[in-house]
Amino acid sequence: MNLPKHINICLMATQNLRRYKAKSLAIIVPLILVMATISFMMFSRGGFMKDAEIARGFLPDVTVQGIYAGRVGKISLHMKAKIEDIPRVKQVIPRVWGYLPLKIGGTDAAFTLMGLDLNGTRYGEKLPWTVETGSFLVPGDRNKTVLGTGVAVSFDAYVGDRLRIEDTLGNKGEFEVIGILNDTVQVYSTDLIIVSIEDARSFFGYCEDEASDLLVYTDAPENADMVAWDITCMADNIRVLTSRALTDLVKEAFGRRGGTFQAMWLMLLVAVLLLVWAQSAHIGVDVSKEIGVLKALGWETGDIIEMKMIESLIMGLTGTSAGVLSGFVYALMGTPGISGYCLGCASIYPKFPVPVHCDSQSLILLFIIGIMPLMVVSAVPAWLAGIIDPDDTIRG
Amino acid sequence: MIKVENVTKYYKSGKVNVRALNNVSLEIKEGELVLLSGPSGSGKTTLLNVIGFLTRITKGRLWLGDEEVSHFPDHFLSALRREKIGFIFQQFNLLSGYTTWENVSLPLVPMGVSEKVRRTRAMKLLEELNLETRADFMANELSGGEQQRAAIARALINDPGIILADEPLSNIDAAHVEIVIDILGKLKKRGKTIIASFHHLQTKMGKLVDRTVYFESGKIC
Repeated sequence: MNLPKHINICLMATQNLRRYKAKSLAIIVPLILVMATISFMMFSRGGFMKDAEIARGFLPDVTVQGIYAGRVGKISLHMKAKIEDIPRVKQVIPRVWGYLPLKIGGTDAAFTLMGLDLNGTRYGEKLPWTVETGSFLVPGDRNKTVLGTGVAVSFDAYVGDRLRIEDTLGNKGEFEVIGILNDTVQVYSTDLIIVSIEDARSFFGYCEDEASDLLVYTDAPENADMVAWDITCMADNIRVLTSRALTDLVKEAFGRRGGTFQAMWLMLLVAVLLLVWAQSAHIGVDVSKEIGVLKALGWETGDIIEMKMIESLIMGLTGTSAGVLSGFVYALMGTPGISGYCLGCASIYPKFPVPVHCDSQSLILLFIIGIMPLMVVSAVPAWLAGIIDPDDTIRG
Repeated sequence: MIKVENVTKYYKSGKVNVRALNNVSLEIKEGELVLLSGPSGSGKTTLLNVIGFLTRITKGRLWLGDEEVSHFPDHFLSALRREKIGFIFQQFNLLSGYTTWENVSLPLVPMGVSEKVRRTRAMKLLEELNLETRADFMANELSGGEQQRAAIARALINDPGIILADEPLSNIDAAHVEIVIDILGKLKKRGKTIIASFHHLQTKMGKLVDRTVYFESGKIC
């Protein structure tokens, strides 16, 4: 291997990028934009997927909801006792929850008020949330609440504050803030207002023997499907969801949104590649002549392809690195401008940072997408011009 | 020794096949300075291109020394051009994005010669051709005569055994013609083989010329 020759070709390729600045920038700038867009979508989508996976570990094995007139409604606590009798069921916890449509400073917002049965439940083991500041609710707590980070920011609420809530439907309540959740699983926790089940019943007007759903824990997760089937057979007008089904639902929703964006920007990537091709295939004139002259001066076709590929590699690396970095920063900033679409719940106010997850697989994929097509697209025309007699290439 | 044996070359011009060389045979000994003369389109440039491996022949055989090179693969021909041939193009063919010295040094890049040595060698040749002050000019900033001299310097940078010159004096002013002829004379003295084409007979070459070959309609007459 003639190392000095390859060093020379490498240096020539670098100098060529400076020589033909306008052409280089015409490729690098669109590449940065495309790679930034693809990467922030990929990182955000990865964040949702990771959140969904983490949360799955904390979800009840089975969730049971009541159905009235084909819509999700209240469920009677009589079902709780029946489900507890099913073999392999370890615990059944009733939950009362609902959405709060609110106006905060004139802006629409939607939060979730969730009432938990605090008696006999070790929530530290069962829920994905840990308290960042303050403490969690304990049995007997009334008119106290633990807030998700999004809610705390919206109301500018801190531990020790009293929070008055009145939704646009007329439901009212006043709670003392005793804790604020951390943001480990943002998709699930940011909009939460957690209170005791009694307070939630009172807020939404539920009777003593009613709940929104029942959380069923089995003795082993692999038994969830069997237990779910037993519950389904037990009564009509109920909806039974396993943790896997719930996680798949979340992944499906965010995955599809992410996929829509990726498909859109892949189309843009193709457009950029066509632009690059058009530039390289401008080979009839300047580039073709340059290749012909270089061959006439003793360059081999392989040398010319090597130089063109190094040029593309440098442009691809620069464009992709800058694009991926910009995309990552944009994702970290919460994808301002399009976070509503990404999250699918645009009315959450004011801030719900889109979770970001970046791993080596995503990075490798991004760099392959950003560099390989560019190298191929530039090498092929160089090769096509290189295999023709130099005289023909110079004449054009 | 360069030997062209019954060489015919067709060009495709649009849909028409043009016969640029018609059964041409010629033998040029090492160290000879041969002039190719004849009207435009008579086949002089095509023969230079054939000898310089810039175009493949349609029929016939081409020898370089004892080897028949007509059917050598592309990378062997590139290596021969790189190591044995210096080509002065009629249209100069300097690359516009490069400076004069960079253009001159281009044949040395695939030979693995460092940038420092390339520049030193290019500057030496540019000085001989009174072009040292234009070394850092972009090629397209040079006048026609300066481009011609830069093209001559580029053809000589790899110290080739064979120099093929297509109308090397056509764009050069009178003051610089003497310099170029002087250089060609020195090269001949060093045993280089020189084949040069001229639109009309160049008397300025005088005693340097060993032989003049006349072309007409793709044939030697």
